[in-house]
Amino acid sequence: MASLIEEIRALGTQALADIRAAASLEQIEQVRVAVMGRKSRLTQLMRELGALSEDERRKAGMVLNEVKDAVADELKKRRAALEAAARAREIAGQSVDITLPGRARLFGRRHPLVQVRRQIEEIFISMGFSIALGPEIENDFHNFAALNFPDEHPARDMQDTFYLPGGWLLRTHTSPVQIRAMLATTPPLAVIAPGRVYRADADVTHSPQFHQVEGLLVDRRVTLGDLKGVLEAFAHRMFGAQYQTRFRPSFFPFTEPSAEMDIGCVICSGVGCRVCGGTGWLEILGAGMVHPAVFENVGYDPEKWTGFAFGMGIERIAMLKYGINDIRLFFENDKRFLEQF
Amino acid sequence: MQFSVRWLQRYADLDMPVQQLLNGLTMAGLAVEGVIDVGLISGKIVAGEILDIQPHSTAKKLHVCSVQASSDPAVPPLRIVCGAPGMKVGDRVPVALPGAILPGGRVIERCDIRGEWSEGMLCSGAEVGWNKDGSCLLQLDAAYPIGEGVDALVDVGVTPNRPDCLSLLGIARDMGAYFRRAVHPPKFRCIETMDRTDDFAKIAVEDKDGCPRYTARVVRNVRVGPSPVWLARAVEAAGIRSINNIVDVTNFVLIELGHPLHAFDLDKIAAHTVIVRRAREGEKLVTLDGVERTLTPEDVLITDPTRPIALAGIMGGENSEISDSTINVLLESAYFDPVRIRKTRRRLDIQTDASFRFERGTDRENIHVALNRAAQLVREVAGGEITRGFLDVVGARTKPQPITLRIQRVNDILGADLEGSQIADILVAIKCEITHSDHHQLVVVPPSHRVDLLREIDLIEEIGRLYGYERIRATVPYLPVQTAAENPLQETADRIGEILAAEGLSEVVTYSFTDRESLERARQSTADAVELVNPLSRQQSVLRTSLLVSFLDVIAHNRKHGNADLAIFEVAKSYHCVGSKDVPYQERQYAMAALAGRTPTHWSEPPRPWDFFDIKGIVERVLRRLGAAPEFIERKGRPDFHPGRTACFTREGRDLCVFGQVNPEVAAAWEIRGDIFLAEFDLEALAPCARPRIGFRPLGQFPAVVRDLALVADRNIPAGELELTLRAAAGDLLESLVLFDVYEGDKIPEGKRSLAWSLTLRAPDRTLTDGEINTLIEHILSALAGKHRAELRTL
Ligand SMILES: [Zn+2]
Repeated sequence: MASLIEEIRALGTQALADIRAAASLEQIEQVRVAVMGRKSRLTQLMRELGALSEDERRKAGMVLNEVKDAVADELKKRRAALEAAARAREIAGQSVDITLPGRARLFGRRHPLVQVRRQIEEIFISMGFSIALGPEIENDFHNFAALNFPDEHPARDMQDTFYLPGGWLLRTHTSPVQIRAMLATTPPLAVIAPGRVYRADADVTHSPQFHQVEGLLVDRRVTLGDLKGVLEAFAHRMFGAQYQTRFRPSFFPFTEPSAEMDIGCVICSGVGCRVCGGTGWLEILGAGMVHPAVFENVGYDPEKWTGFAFGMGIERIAMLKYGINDIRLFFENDKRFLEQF
Repeated sequence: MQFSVRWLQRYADLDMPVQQLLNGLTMAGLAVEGVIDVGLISGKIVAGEILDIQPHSTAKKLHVCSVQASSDPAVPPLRIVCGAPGMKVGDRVPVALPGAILPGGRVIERCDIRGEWSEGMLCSGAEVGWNKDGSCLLQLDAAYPIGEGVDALVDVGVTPNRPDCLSLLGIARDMGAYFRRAVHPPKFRCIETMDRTDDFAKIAVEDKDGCPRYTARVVRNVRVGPSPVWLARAVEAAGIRSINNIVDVTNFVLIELGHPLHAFDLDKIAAHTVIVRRAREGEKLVTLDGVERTLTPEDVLITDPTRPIALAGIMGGENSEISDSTINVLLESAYFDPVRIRKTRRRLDIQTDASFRFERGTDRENIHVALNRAAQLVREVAGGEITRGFLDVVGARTKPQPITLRIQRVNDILGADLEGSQIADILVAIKCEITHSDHHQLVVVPPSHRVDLLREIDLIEEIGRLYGYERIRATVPYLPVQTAAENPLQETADRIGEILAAEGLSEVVTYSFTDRESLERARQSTADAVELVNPLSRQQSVLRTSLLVSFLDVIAHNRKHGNADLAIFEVAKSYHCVGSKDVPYQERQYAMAALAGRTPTHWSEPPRPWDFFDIKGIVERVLRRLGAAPEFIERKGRPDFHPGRTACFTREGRDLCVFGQVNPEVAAAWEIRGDIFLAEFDLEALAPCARPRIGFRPLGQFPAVVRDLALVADRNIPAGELELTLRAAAGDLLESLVLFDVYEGDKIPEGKRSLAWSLTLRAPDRTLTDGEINTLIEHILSALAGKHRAELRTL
């Protein structure tokens, strides 16, 4: 009996030594089969326990279980260590050249004019304006007459017009949307109207097709001071609060008083350069109080309602914002240009 | 309008730094658009007098001049090398001192000119930007003091409402009001002889509408010749070429007082009688520029009893112009109807300094002042006698109408808090007459030169302008809250742009214009193309009926610049004649996407040319993201697309998107080699269905079973048809279906292909049993076999 227990303990000691000596996952599996397998001496002894007296069986069984547990535990530990070592070796071989370029996928961009348009829209929408749209092919009433451009008035020369057969025309500004919006609703209203416009004019700063955003606010007691407040806030959000703004008197048939807004030159910061003609100022938009004649033309009572309107060229804003010197680049769509935005 | 600062200062007390004056002009609404600094700002170009001229030691054509260029006589004269022909001792000319920058950008330095030191440069008119004459030194008159900056020529933009500022006196008046300085209209006296003017000339106005007032004077026995220096410089400073003393006088009065005048050779006017009438249809006149003009009855014509002699308000006739031999002059100062002048000059496409002012409106009440001024100046510079009195044919007199101005209204519009007295001060400064005032309102009569002041708001603008926009406090209004009307089309346009950019396509913005030939080459409709009446060029003479022409231009342009690989889109319109009387034109909104060239280059896999399934994938994802599930896909026959590689997704009978390969013939017409794949989304068709309606479906709780099926079928059977049969047979248990392999080749019979699908099957209420699944698969296979003779592929 004592010898049986001796043997069990010796087997255990030997097994633990074998497990510790195993150098690979294959070896440890061989050791496991040899020590714990069905044909192993330990398993065999387990079966032989049945032949012993109950007291002896209990004693030997306890020792046997003790040894089995110790062996199983050691197997588990050793296997985990070997697996960790194997993973570590694998990981060590998995290093990549991190400087190789990442996998290429197309990278899409919105056109700079669209980016600027959306930025302008967002600024005014956040102030409470909503978007209104109108057709590009217009008639004289919406584009000129209702906007207080009398027939044969020199103010019409401010905008070289493309005409279509039948007396129609390509809108020269987004201002006809003002008229359409006012005819469609009753005051108060606050809208902006982005869109494509056309003038028969082409050089480095003029394109026969360009884009504008028009704005219109009509309510009780809207003042020129309100116009200044809204447009200054716009300019500061568009270009940054570091730029000063100024309002100069100007003329548009559909607003009175009329103004143009300048910002401090974004190129030279007001010192004077070629872009700003040495003045330190850049014109960015035209604006004014809605002319009473325009209200009369759409059936609004100018004694009851006042309002302001403004309009800006998206190309001009984009050119200033990005330092683009030729308006034609926007419409050439050279990939090298598009990929910069 | 260009003017000389020194001349301006003669008409108002504006002796301030030039920069301050320039700022004042801009802030009063006369935007400064350009400045030619002839030393008045920099002090580096001064008037100097040539004291002595010596030959140059080595250069035959050069001279060494001694030039007095300081107002202090104690300062020694400058030594300046000069090669200008015709200069003489005593000439007063512009001297560019070392450090001067000439208008062209040239910098003057003290330098050695072929062995002689030169301490500056004597300048021609062209060199300082005064005129175009580079052949000799610019002569100055005594009004330009020695040693002082010569002048500054300022160009201001005069808006169409302010014709009163198209003159020195007008600008002086406005600056006088802005700076609250005194204004000095020219003082002169017209010295007349005892001979009565109407003994020498007669006026008859038949066209009273076109010519409400006509005045004239006669100056006899003049000597036509070059203008004196002061006069030549004065007209040139306004950008007008000096011609002769008579013509220059009329031009000078135009820039001084703003009223256009015309001078006739009186002896070329038959019977010395001027008749103002409508032209007859087809009547002809050769104008001063040598062009024969054909006239119509809408033109106001100046005639004598035998022939036309001038196109009223626009240009004189060659047959009556002042020449060197002219002895007697008839000066005309008239008021012509702005609309009539404008119509004529637009039809004949001539713009002159005169027509520019007439069509904007001149000071009708004061045309005789300009006439008298011109007569007096003619006498001064060309001699002669002014006969007694001026001829004046006047229709109805017009007087400026009084305007009631409410003080509250002024403050309501401006957002200011002005007192009645402040308002009155401003109005008086611009020469308005206030005929009544109380606590609430003023009654204001504007001066006759302010043709733009007609109603209350016009006066409010003046008050705002001269009070100063910068003094009006910026306020933030409460914006009216309103629910913006939904605009599904615009919303779809915005969303599709974002989706296409997310798909990796870059947005382009192209011209709406094209030409008929391009539309034809791109196989687009031309019958409904909208033609421009007045295109800038043939290439931009019609509006596009499809975005494709613009895309082909963009792709061709980029190829030319080495960018063959493109993935682009645009959200824009095409334009069509639809023939209806009320709405003859239609704008249709599209989004177009195109792939040209190859997939992006990466070291891990070789790039490959884009193909049909790249564009189809984009279209499928765009429609899915928009929430616009198509109902059908069908082949599409379109002349601009490849016959075998074009498809269309439809819904409710409308084409949502036509996509595929651009017809290689069309690409070839743009000299584009390689395939172009295109998708044309019809936004008007998409907008009504492009609203994501998301309804949540519960997630299945029971396990799914995945089975792969490889089927061999005739290769002409579209995969989509097999899939329809498969889906129908599988029924509700089919959760998803993915085609993962398409094979044609030697492992299967010729004319057949193998398609392999992965089916995910799941029941919502139970775990599927093997038996159930096997029965279903049998059912699917028999459906496919029955309908398409498709068989399970055996390996
Ligand atoms: Zn600048």
